[in-house]
Amino acid sequence: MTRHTMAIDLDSCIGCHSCAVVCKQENNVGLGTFYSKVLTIGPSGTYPDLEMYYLPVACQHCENPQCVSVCPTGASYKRDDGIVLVDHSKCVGCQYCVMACPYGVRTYDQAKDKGVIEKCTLCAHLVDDGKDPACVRHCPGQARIFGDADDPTSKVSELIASKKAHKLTDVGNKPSVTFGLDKCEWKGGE
Amino acid sequence: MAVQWPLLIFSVLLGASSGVMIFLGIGEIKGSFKKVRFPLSLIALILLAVGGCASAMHLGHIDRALYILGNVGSAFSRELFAVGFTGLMTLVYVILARKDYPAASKVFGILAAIGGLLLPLIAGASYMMPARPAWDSFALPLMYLGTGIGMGFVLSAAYVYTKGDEADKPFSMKLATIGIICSIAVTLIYVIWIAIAPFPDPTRSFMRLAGGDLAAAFWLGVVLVGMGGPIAVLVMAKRVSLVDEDGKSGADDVVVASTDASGTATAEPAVGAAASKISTANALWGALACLVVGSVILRVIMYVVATSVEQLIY
Amino acid sequence: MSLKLSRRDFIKASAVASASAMVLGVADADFADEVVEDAVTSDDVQVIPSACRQCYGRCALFGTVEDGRLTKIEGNPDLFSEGTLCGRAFAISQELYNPTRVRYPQRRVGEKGSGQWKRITWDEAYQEAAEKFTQIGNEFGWHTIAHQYGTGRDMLQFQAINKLWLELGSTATFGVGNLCWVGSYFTSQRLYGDETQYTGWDGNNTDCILIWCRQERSRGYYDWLTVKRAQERGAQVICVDPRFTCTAAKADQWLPIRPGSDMALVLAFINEIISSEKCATDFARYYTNAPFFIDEKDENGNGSGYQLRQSMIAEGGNVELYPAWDEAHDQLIYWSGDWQDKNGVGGARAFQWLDEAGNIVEGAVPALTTPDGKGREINGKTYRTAWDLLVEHVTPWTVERAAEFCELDADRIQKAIGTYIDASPHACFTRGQKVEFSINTSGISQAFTIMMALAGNFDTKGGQNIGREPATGYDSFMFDVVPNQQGRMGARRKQTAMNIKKLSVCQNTGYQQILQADDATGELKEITQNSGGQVIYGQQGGFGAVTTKAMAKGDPFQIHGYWQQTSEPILSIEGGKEIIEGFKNLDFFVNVDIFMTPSGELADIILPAAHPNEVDRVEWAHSGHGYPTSHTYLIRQPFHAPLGEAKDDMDICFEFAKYMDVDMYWKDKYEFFDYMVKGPATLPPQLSCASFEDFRNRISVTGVQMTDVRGGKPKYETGFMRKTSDFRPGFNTMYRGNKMGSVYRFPGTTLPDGTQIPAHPQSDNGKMELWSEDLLLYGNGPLPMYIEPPITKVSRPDLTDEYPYTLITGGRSHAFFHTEYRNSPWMREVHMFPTMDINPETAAKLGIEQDDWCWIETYVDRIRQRANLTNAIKPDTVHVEHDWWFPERAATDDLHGALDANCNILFENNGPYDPAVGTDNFGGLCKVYKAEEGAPDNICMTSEDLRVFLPLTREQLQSDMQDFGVNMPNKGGM
Repeated sequence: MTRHTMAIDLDSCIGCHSCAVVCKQENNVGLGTFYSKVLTIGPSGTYPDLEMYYLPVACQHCENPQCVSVCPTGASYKRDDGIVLVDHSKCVGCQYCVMACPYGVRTYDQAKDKGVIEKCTLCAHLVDDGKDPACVRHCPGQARIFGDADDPTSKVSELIASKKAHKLTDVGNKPSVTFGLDKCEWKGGE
Repeated sequence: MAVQWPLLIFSVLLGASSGVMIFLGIGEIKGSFKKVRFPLSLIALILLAVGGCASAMHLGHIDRALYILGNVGSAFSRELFAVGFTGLMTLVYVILARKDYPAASKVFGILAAIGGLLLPLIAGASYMMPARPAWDSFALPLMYLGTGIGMGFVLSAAYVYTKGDEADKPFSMKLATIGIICSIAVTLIYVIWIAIAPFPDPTRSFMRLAGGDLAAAFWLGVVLVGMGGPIAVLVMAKRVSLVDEDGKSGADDVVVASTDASGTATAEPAVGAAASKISTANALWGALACLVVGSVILRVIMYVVATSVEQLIY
Repeated sequence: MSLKLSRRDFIKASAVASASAMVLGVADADFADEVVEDAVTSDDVQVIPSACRQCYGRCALFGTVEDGRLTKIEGNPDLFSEGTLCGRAFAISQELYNPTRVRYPQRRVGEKGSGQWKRITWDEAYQEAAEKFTQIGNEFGWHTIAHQYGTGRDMLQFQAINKLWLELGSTATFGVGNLCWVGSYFTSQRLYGDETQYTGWDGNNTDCILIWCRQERSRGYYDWLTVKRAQERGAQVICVDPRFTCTAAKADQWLPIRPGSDMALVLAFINEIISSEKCATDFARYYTNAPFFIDEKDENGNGSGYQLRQSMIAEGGNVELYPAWDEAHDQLIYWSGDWQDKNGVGGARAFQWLDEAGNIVEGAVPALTTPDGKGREINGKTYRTAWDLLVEHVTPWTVERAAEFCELDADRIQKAIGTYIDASPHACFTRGQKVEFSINTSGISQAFTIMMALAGNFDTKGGQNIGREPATGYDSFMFDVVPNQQGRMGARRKQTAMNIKKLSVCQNTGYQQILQADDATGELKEITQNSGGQVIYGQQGGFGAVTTKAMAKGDPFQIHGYWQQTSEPILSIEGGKEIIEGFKNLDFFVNVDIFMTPSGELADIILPAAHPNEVDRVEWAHSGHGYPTSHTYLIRQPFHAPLGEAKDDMDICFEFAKYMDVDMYWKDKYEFFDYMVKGPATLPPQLSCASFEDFRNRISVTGVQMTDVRGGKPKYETGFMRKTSDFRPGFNTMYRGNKMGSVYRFPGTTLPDGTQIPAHPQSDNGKMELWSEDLLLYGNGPLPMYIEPPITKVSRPDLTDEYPYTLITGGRSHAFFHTEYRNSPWMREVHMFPTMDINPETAAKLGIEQDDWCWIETYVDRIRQRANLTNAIKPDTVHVEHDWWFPERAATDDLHGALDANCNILFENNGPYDPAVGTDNFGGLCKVYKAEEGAPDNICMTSEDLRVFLPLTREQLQSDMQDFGVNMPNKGGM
């Protein structure tokens, strides 16, 4: 079965925020709202023995998404291919899903389509067209890999196999996005 | 996260409403509070209704409310059912309370009291999410229930002292005392939970309450007012009974001074008696005010410390 | 691949695009069919291949244009940027339709800086400008009109601006490249006739990349792909940078060097290289001037100080013969530099070793050194070789001394140098601009050249591919070279050049006090440096500080007129407040720009420039190197016609030239583009485009590597380094006196103090100059010297009590390009505030917390930026960002907030400067304290605030004809 997800090679990420900006273009994301952002982790250590990496963050398209289970209307849902989406036509804006997300990547968007929840869609509209998400396609570090985690020959699976793979802290939601990081010590939860 | 005022108001009001109904439910079992049961249950119904309306303000699209039962398994839906059940039982009780249907009133009083016991627990449980460590404990629904009992019982007792039967007063005072103890106990338990919650982070630490940006809210609002205030009333209530025994003054009269900065209440019996005399009823209303303030501020803290396990974008 | 467009599709797509680019909204059903599933099937949707100009990278992209409006930017996967794009590219639409854009010519109607404008016609604007400039020219002299261009647009545009104003006799300019890049460009042109330091590194095949003060995400991000792949192949990456940048984090080794002390480290590199087995002594022997004898000046002033010529040791000797010692035959031999065949030793003998009789010596082995390095006696005088002097110079610069000067751990230095040497000759070097921001920029560039040369890395696989090789063989400089070759240089330009000593604003830059390290002891000593008349980069005279003084103080003469095109000196040059003063003094000031800017508010007339994606250009990567990046031309063509009445900067120059009666030689830009893409007759036909339209259809042309053409041999062996087309082995030093060099202070000149510089011909002998006669003449000294920057803890201990922290400035931000994008909601959202980096330890000492607004104060001035507490910077050092302004503030509100956070006002503009290119000092000492008043007033504080910069809608654009200037968004303060 197809399990669409993203793997991000943090050794390749240069923290340029291209992903955050192209996402705004592709998904018409309003000011103040970010589907995707890049954090600087560190530098940690004692000067001058330092380590630093950049952590691109967005919806982790969890295998057991808490946002979906708390949603009273079913507006938040998980597709068969693993992508977690919000159906804006059903969203009442109760924001339980915002609370239920362990990562703070959903927001209640008052700026654009007022009163609903916004978050990364993994560019499902492009994926359905057989394309990669906009951030994957344009990443200057070619750090982002999109593909089918259930296909061992996919580039996603290859990256996961070739690097020390990490996930964001899992509180039972089973995040699907994998971060590969060999050069530094991972500072997040596994 | 930001304080969700509509939800906060809802939780305070539903707590107080539940507390009143539990108070009346106990009264039904004991056969007390006949005189006040109608106005009190009406108050409970209004509180719940106002709270429900407040919570609706939280929604971005109330026009899509019909979709709300799209996922009946969700906590939100359970909460809605609980509100519906309790509200209905309370409504029936209110209607019955005007007349004399002792058996029916007893049944619905107890049902409404059960609703009152469950509703804060269910409402609180909907916040139990692994994503928010400061919420992810039974301490939170317990806090909702306990503070609700505190507010509801003290409100009811105050009403009894104001408009009720003389005979009901001592029992109501006992319940008020229990309510206050409940409220303080659950507050402590919840604060302890904040201190020991998993995935520790400065944004949701006891240190933030004790010495961080929330220190003023915590020490003044929660500890001094929310816990100290009602204790002062308890102490005063004790004095009232002593005074009564001495026969020095009227049963309703007590000499009170406002709580001072140290959080303890001081009584000044003889001095300036005329000026500082207030009734037990007023003392209880004062205690209610303290409990409400304490509950509100505790909930403010509850939202503010409810940072997600990782706050990556927002 | 997500975008399934074949190359053929694009060619068709672009053909359509080109035909309709200027007439938008033309329906073309075939086109929609061709553009596969990516395109919307609407009739008026076009996908136009073009290039980005939002930094130096020039990434290849596609713009989706719907009904004449850009709706989407996507990367072009078929070219060097591999489909990747940074945020700035996606924000192009926010620049195009930005509310701060000037769309119609404007004349100022209020006081300077009042923000009051009235729309005029182009003809009115040109007429008035022509009259006023002519009046000034006639009354005060044409040299009293300054001109200025920014780094902002492109090299072709620069050529047009430059030609227009050189022909008009303008001399003064603030310069732009002399803040950065020109130091290395000028120096490497002088030393071997090409550029290598930012460019020309072969990361594709390297074993080691030495990256000096450059961030991987400052420009041309695709370079990072090269670095990353090299690392994945096992190459070592060494980063030298005071800050723990992105590059430092990715590098295998990081040398956190003390700001401004770079020279000590490079000298240690050279020293270690010379004493290693890897030292490229054969290269030094046969391709550099290392074996040449030097006629040293002794204490008594005897000796010319130049490279020895036969004419200096023998009566009737030849000036084009450079003596050396032939180890193979134990005899004095002479290198003939007479390639022009003017001195009787040219022809077949040019660039050959000759004996006393003038016969070619077969198998000559010129000696690098003299016995014991003490010199060799020739005709009764002892001479040492350039090599001897170099070795003597660098030998005291040990790793230990570098460690002390640079505040680095000696083991770290040793390891880094060892890595570089081990990897050589497959090691490459690249640098960022920050090394350049010093008064020793040309010196450090010379040092880097020596380092690369002696490590044997020139033109090797994985080393330095010397020079960019234009795809068609012709680059932008031909714009001016061709007319000059044909004798079409105007009379006024010639006269100005001949009288430049009187007409240059640099005429009084004579001597300056600097702190230079004594080689032997390492002790810093104050010396007087001869500042050589900074005449650079096509300009007949001028750099920021001197032009500022001329405008503001009338020193050495008052500047009356000013033409500024796509530049913002108030923000980018030191002493911004004095520049404002200068602009207020001007009689007439024309500003050509896309947006309203701080200096634009002081202009008399503003001419609306087209956005780079509204014009046609031949484009190429100004970053990014190695094949094929460095060999590619790509099309930059418009997404649509310029908004309103805006015009291409090049067109403006051509049009105004007509009003001024200037002969631009080329009929218009297209005539030159046609010439450029056609290339010389020798160009392989597949690389030659019939015309610019042909090039447009091809989208790009990628040339060949000259080393491939000649069997992998380095270009200096096969004659491809010669710009003279004589294809002789060797190098090509720049002619002194040509447009890229000085016409001011060369041999034969009298210095301000009356000393005569002895006349002798320029050394132009095919050798790379390790010991540089030219740099000597410019005042640097023939060998790179350690110079302590003027304001450091070492040079100014008297300041450290009050200003205890080392201040560095100008690290590049990935959200902006110099002054650009402060008006872009998306980019500001990514990086909202001017940010000061400070170590948490230092911050704690000062009671500064994360995100506190702080004052950064030097003895000159103070600015406010917001604190970022980070270990990336050393304790007691702070870094502030450059080029900040707040377009959301009104013109009357400090010229759109040009002085609040602008780090360049923290430095004075009274020298010392780099003696050759005039670079000023941009670092110093400061104190830092919390700004109790918080952020500057009236600036955007939230995403919501940035709404004022959202793109104007089609309707808004149509309804506002800017009859009374640009309706600037503002956050108050009017």
